[in-house]
Amino acid sequence: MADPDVIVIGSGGGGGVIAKELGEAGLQVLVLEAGPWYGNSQWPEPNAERGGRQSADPADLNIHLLRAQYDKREGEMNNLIAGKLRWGPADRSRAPWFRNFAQRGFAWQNSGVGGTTQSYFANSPRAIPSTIDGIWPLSYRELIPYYEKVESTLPVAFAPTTAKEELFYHGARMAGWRLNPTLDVTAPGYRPQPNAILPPNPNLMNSTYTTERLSWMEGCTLAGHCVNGCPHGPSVDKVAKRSTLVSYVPLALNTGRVAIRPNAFAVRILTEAHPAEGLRAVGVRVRDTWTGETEELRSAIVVMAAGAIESPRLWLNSGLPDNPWVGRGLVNHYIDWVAGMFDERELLSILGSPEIDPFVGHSSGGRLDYPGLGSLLVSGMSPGLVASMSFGLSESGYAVSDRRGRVVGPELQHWMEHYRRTLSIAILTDDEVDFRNGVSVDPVLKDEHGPVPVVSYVPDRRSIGKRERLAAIAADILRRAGARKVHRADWPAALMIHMESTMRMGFVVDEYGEAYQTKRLFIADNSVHYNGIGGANPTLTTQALATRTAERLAAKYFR
Amino acid sequence: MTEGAGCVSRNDGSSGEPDAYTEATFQAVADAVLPPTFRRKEATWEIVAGANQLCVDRYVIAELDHSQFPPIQATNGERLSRSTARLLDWGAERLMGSVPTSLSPGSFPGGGPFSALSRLGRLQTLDLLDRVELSPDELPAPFSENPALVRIIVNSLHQLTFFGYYSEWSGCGAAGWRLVGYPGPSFGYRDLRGFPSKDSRIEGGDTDG
Repeated sequence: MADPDVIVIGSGGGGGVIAKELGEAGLQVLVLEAGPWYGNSQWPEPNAERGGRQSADPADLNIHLLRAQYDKREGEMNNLIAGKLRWGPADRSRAPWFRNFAQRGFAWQNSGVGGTTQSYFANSPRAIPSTIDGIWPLSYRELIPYYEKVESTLPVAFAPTTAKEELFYHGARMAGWRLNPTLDVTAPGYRPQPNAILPPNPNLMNSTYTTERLSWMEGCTLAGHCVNGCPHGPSVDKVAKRSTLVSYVPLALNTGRVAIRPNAFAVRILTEAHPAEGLRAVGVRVRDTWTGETEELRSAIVVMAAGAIESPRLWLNSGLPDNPWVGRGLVNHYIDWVAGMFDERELLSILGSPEIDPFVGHSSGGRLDYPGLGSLLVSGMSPGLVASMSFGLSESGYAVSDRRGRVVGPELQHWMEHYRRTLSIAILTDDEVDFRNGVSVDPVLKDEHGPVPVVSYVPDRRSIGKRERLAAIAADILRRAGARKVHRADWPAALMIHMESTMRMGFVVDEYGEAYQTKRLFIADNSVHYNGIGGANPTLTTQALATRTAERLAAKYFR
Repeated sequence: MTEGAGCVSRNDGSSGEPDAYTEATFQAVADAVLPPTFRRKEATWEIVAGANQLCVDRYVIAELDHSQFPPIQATNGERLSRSTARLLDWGAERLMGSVPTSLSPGSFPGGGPFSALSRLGRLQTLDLLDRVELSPDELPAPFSENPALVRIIVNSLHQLTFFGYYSEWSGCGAAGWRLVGYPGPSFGYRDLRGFPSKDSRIEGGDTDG
């Protein structure tokens, strides 16, 4: 593609969406993706050889390849150092890309087409309205049409109930919470997750269909591999969990105007001083992750959708104008994790079965939202992830009598022997934007893409108070559901899963995502969020904003 | 807590590899955080292999060395596993200088002070590194440049040991999935229990808000 209208940096939750929207608006789009492309015939061995240069043809999408590559094993897929779904180059024999953390923590992110939506739970709640209205530069009402468009495109549906959701709802009811099955949350209550996962296959409970046969058909089979990378469906564009790899990317290719180039790491935004517009973006310098070759690509518009760590890093490494808010204001939902262990007898009476089997169903199919505090997510994952995340990771050292912290030895084995009878709840805090938290670039350490990002996050007193209240609510729900033992991980504050607000709307970009200080440079990822949207998972809001940004961008520069 | 690693041999019969010092130190870590345990099986007790018996220490070493944190330029070319082993010995010496500590020498030949500690002492060392206010100039390189890295390493030692043990990774015998009753990759489960409310499908972007 010679001189596209728009270059989009990143093909994750935001980049995939804006590429499709711009393609449908008639623009020529080139998407640069740093990682591999799974499920594409141009890259039959994406981790072993360079393969093709780019793909623009929906016929390249190959469900058989995706199935072979997304093999559903957690060590192969989720290992953050050498797994297929890590933040690093496609060549897994090489190290992941380094981030320097100022506190104990790490970032759970994926490179590759689809970005971190490859391993996300697909939870797609809207923002909590009270955290938008009167605070953001735009209103919740203005966002609704864009939410609706994304919800129907992905599509989003309320999650089906499996055993872990049933037990969670039971506990929530016993604790006095009410069902609140809405998309627009204004009062506390529990509800099924609005998930970007296709509804269950109508024949799922019909035993004349084998589960293998069902896995090749359209619709979720409750296989529980959302977090490991879902490969189930008759074709790539109909895979059950709607990562952008299988939703927006195929739609983008269908426009005939979008090409996606994996293995291409953007290292610099190119600018010029224009007499009328002032400083403006004119292209991107990109580095091939296999060959190390760099080249400069030109376009009329550049969109950064590299995520809340890499977008500010790219700004800072490009020598773009100083702005005290670039990289600052990071929120991450100050996430925590609480688990409850249940007895067989208790479970039989509530569920009619002696096990919960947390590996069944959507990775997270139910939630409780509390405007002003945050959200609780009933969650289930494969055992390696559960052991390492529930019991290996903590701010508070080894658990002693307060049942908080790391667990080792016989006590760990005891918990894991009860893996099938354990219910886990993730805690997402409505944490506060604080200028001191954020992403900068290291003055000394560099990698092949320039100075590495330094990530720092320390929660303020209000955020700490909110998380304590949410953890107490989670423990109460587990106990009311009948848990005989409850454990809290107390995750490190700098654990980065829901990074937002490092290139805030109103400070770095305007309400349409265009940078104040660099014309023709837009941002379409979590970094533009004004705040943490109340503890709601960020992806749907990023996708709604990317849709809105695409509309504005096309109208402003191409009409 | 049963003392000594000698009570259960490693499944492949090995006791060390090149760079015996790093190997021994990581075996001592694996043995401390996930030792062999006993569990009731019908009328008898059976032994459940610990992380050391399943060679999970090799997984932890390989992952740390592959991770490149910190970047190689900050470590003078030393492998992160070896830097970590030296850090653990630094912590062990600090522990022994401050509280009475029980020893269990000879369990991990070739190791340093950390490997000579009892399981409890090794956990206390990890705890000390995790909590203590560390002054950068006291720490061995490359940690002197970045004290947060000490705490990141302590988390990683636990997380990697647990992930290696309970995922499908298999060095000299797999335990995790079978032990906990996880069936592994699945095509699907027939556990649809309906929806919590009748109106719980979002169709064509309609909302109820």
